[in-house]
Amino acid sequence: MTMSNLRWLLATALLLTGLPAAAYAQGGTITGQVVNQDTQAPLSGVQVFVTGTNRGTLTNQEGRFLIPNVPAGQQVVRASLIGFAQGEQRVNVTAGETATVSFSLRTSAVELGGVVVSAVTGQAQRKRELGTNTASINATDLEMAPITKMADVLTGRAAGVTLQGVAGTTGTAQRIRIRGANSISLSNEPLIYVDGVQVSNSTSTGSVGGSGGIGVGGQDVSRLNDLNPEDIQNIEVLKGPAASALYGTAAANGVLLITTKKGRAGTPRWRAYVEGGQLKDVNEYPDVFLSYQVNDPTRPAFTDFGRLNTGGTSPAYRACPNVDAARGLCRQDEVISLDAVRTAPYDPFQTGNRQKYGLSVSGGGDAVTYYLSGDMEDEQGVFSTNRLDKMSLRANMNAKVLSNLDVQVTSGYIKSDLALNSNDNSIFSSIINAMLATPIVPTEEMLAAPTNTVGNRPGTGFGYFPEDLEKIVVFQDVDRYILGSTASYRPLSWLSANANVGLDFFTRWDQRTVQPGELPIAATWTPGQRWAIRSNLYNWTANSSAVATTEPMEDIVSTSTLGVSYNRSLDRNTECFGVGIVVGTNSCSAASSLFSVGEGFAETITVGGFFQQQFGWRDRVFLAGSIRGDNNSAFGQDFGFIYYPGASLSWVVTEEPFFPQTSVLSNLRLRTSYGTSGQRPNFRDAVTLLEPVSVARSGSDVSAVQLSRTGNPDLKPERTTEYEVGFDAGFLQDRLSFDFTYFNKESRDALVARRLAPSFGLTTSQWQNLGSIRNWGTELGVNARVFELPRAALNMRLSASTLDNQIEELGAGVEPIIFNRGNQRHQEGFPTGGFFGQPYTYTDADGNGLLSPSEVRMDTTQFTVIRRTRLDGTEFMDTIPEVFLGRALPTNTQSLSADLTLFRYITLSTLFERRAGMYTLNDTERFRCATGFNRVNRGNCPAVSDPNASLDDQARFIAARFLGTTSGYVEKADFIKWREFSVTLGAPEQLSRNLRALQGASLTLSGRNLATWTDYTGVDPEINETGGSSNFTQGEFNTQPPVRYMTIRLNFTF
Amino acid sequence: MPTTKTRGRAGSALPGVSALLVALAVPLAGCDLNKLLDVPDPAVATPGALEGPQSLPILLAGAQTDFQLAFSGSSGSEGIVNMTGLFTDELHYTSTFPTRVQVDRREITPDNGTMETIHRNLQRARASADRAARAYTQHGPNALGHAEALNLHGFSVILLGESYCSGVPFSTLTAAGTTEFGQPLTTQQMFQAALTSFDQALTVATQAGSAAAAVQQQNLARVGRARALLNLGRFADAAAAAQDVPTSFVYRIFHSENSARQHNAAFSFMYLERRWSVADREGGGLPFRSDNDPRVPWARGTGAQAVGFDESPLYLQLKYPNRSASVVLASGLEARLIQAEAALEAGQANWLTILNDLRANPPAESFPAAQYPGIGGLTPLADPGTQAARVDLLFKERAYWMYLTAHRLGDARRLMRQYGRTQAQAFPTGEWGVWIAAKSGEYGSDVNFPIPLDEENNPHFTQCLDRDP
Repeated sequence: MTMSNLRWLLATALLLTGLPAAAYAQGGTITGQVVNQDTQAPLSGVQVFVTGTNRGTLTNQEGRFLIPNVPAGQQVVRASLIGFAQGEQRVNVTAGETATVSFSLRTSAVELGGVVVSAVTGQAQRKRELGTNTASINATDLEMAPITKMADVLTGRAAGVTLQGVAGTTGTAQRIRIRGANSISLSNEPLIYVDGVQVSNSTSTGSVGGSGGIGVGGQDVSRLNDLNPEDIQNIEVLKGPAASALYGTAAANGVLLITTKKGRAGTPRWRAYVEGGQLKDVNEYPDVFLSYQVNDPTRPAFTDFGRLNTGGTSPAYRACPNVDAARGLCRQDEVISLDAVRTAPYDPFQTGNRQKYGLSVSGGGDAVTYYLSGDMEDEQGVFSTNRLDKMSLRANMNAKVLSNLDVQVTSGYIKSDLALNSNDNSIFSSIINAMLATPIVPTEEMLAAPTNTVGNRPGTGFGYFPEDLEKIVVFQDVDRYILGSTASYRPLSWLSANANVGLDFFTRWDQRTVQPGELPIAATWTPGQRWAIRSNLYNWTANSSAVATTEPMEDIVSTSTLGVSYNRSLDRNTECFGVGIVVGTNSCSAASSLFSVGEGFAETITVGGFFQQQFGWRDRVFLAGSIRGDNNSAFGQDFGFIYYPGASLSWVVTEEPFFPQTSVLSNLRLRTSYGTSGQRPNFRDAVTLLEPVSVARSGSDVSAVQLSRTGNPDLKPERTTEYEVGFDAGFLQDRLSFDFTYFNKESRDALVARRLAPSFGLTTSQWQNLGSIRNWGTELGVNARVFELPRAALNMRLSASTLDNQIEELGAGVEPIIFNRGNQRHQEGFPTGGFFGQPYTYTDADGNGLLSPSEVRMDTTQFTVIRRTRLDGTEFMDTIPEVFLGRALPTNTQSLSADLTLFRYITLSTLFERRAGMYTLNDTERFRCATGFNRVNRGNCPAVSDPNASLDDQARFIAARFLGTTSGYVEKADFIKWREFSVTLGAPEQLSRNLRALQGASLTLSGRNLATWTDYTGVDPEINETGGSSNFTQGEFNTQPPVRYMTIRLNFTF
Repeated sequence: MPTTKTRGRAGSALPGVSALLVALAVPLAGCDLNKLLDVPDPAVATPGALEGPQSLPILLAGAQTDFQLAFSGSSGSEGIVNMTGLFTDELHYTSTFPTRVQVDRREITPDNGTMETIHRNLQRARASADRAARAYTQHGPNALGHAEALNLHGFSVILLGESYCSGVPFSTLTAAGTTEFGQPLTTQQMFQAALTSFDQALTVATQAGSAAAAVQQQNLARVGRARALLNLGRFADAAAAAQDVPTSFVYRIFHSENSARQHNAAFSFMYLERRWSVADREGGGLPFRSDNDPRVPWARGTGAQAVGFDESPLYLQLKYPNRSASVVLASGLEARLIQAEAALEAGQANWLTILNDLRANPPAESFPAAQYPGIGGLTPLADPGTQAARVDLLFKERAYWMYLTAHRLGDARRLMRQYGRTQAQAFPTGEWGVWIAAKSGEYGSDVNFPIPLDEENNPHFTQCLDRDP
């Protein structure tokens, strides 16, 4: 649609229509109270509304509500709150008078009463109106849980939502996957809104767009974890396009709608807490081994470098790996081993600690309510150089400016100072220096030797003791503001207008300084060096919509929504680097060599319009359809608007008169939904660009350009279409609930980097819309109030999901996309990022328990037949020697949580999670064995140097080192993890009565990452060396696994 | 049931929609959507911004930077200087990356990712020089920059011809943005194409006059012509092309400390990465270390450079002692060596005279005494007596004078192609990895680089036409 077309449409609409002349007749008022049927306690935060109108409100702390300007006549009033069955009352309203109606809500395990507030339209919709399965995580779910960061909030709490805690280093990122992965090239992270403001979840330690920056070997930092879990009221998870079609070109991976806490009318309610605890690395690391032959025992076995003394023309010692011993090339006279990671001076770990303090107050009157909070957090990781200091402030205010105008202002400020050590693929990692150590404790002589310098520490993998690496730390300081304002105006009882604007802004300062002389390992380090990046990222959100709620005919409520949406993200950064700084300074200014500066810039804008029409029949059948059109600055110049349709149907069958009312099946809702949403290309993907660079010419540098991108003017967004069907059922008076969903989604026009023929002399690839990816699976939620006795109550929740995933099409002539050191690939007809490898077989023919290279062979009987498409589109079958080994994403997950309350004051909570069906690369072991074999000690893993190593282990090493296939190190990564356990002791009521100001108090003892059950042979099956920003790469490479948290927390309300 | 309440327009199928349109029409009608989506990008340039005569210097500089990256690399990627050195007996590998091990062992697969970058960079250098030359043809055909662009194009093509198997295509992205896939070119065709470029460059540079800059480009074209002709086996023509080049002439590819992209890869990958080492009799090759020839200065690494990444002893070249060390692309010295070879091939006695003249008077422009101690003490060579030994001697002189300048692979191939030497006589052969016990295996049989797999996106291409020298 061109601009002129849009103007024409709007102008025509303006001429052909006119504001309805409906009189704004004086109405009456409805007031009342909502209480818990079981306890008669008032319920706050209940949504009370008059059906067929836009009149509604939330109850205050006393459960009371007041709805003014209700049209006269008989009205239906409903009260809805998550965890309770919906209440409904009829009331006669008389103009100028007040009618009273009260509700007594019954608790229910069936989640139909919850409300989802759209970040785009601003509308609050009850779950019963939605045709999708929207997962909810509420503040009450988190009160007793050992939550250390936002990622913990999402872990194991919603079916289909997989959080991969990829490392245990404090402050590092995780991956969030909802219903699989839609894109092989673009991000698979969900869109995140906080109080209607789209916020960044970029995962990067460095510059814009998740690229560059100051690397720490693999891990990066997630902006999601900036958010303070203490401020979260609830999170709604829209799991895919079937639910997120109205969110347009960014929502293909689902949407997280985060709502922060708001005040309720009533006296100020204070809440304070103090939390402290410990972090420990309790993981098991493999021992290091060395086997050798002794030729001359009179000479020292090890050099001053801590390596086996193999030098000279007649070496005193010879490393004798299993493969050489198997061939009779040497004797294994000595075999030594050491748990190096737990042995000084290699052991890098300490006991970390954690403190957190917070204070909040909420309250207000009928006109204005408020919520204010402040939190301080301080976590010292298990590495001495890994630390996070964070402060969070929040001020939220809701005001009834007029009887028909509500305004909400939300504001959050986060200050985060993070210090990160190196790990993963870095020689500056303490773990890699220990995991590749010689299995000896350096002697006094070695430590006193002149060769014992930084970079040459005896026995270490790459020359560093942990204390040396304290000199090389990356700092990231963040100041972040999330500001939003929402207005809801109801000029007529049937017409309302919603608008919201917001800004997520953060300034980030990444820096690393090595002081002169502190790391004297090379000319570029000895004089000291400085690297600093300052980034500013802006994310503006603006939405505006008008909603008409009418009853065009009896029993039918029509809700029409029309709106526009705008989003702009802007990243700017500057960077400097220099070698040679003044002692004690942290500035590039004094750099005496290798000084460089750089600037980065990225900006994308999305403009969209949408329309949604919903019909509700007797509040039990809901049919909706929607369409959204978007244009985006990252689309190719020859591509215009893209449209995303959506439709949904929800039917609460048990409320039909014909449905038999039984105590067994107390609730049944059928639902289905369909929708499409997209994912835009990245900034600059569509345009051919020449990047400014400099070139040296005869002693001086001059400006030049270099082709940096080969653009595609036809580039368009990836487009994901999803449908889902399912039901929600309640049994035994809703004490037991089930929700089940089947989903199937397909991403078309998937961006594939088509490799360009090198002979063009262009860049390596060009983005083209070529691929197609499908994800399908099921989700099951079971919520049971197992028993509720006067002195004991048990609630249990089970979430389970299955996932299947396949690349349907990769594009004509496109070769499989291979990554993760050749072990993973995007191959047509197989799951995204599937593991492939060449199989091998082995036989210990001589039965000596040691395999020689000749006893391991490639298994050429196995291969894979694949379909390939030539450039001209013709297809043919081909074979590749690799076979499919397994998937990168779990195919089924389950989480089980339970709360047991005893004697009203003691609550035990726990959470277990199981994942299965996925594989991972144990590259830590592959590197120790196959690459370590190339060094003096000839490898220090069991497969190489422990004669008792299993044949399987020996065979995979031989296959990797001598046959070139690392398939043996691709391992099944199924696991069960005991994620959380807590015991909460509530203060007896007597205490509250004695301390009049105190309304409640509790003490919680909790633990996180308590146990792992797995057959995986590496350190942890969940970790990932390339951090949270990598799309599919899965494997460990000297990665720090999750640590165990043990915390104690005191909560007070007064 | 409650009485029916009708709000909005009675009877409308979607009551209220028209009002909604009105509500939104007013704010939107004033918007210019294209303006809303207009995102400036101050950090980069688009091709359209580089048109007209004013863009010629920047396009030429672009060709130079692409050539530098392809030729002598950067901190981020090796250049053809590194890779031809690793492939031959100039360097051995002291790290563990399999893609480089393939190069050192002379068994490179077409899917080798490191070698794909090397090839792409060389093709980019060729295309960038071609793009600059075409722009000069349009906007400044007589400008000296035109000659330099053509010269860089010629040397890009020569390096492709000397390093790669027969069958390298040169595809084109036309000015209109359409793609034209190139046909595979034989090795001979590549050298012929290079010759054409140098001929054009010489014409333009000659017409530009006799100023120093013009003479510099003339000599560069002459050495390029001579090198192309030598590869074509036209020895006499090569000597004729080289004869007017003064021995003092030198054309360097410059590096700088300014940015990582401008660093000298021969330094970076050896001194900082510790992944390369000066070889010595590698696979029966030349004794680059043990000869202690002043033209190939080296030193055993100490401290952090004591051992390579694989913990084997590290031997550092001293020819490029820092990141900003420049690399000679063409020189009068090379012109003399070409004349000497032509003389030897023609049976003329002055071949040895030429070599000994160079030894007696090493050109200070290429071999400053401060950097090459002992360069003044090179003793005269004696005639070894047989033609085969003379050829060996000549090629050894070439290897030492032009160590790590991307000549050694072309010479090894010429030894086989033009002088009938066996592979074992021209390339490292036998047991590989003798510099550390942990490495083992045999050298492969490659005598040139394969063309990367990605070229199969070119419908005219299947793979190398042949792998002959």
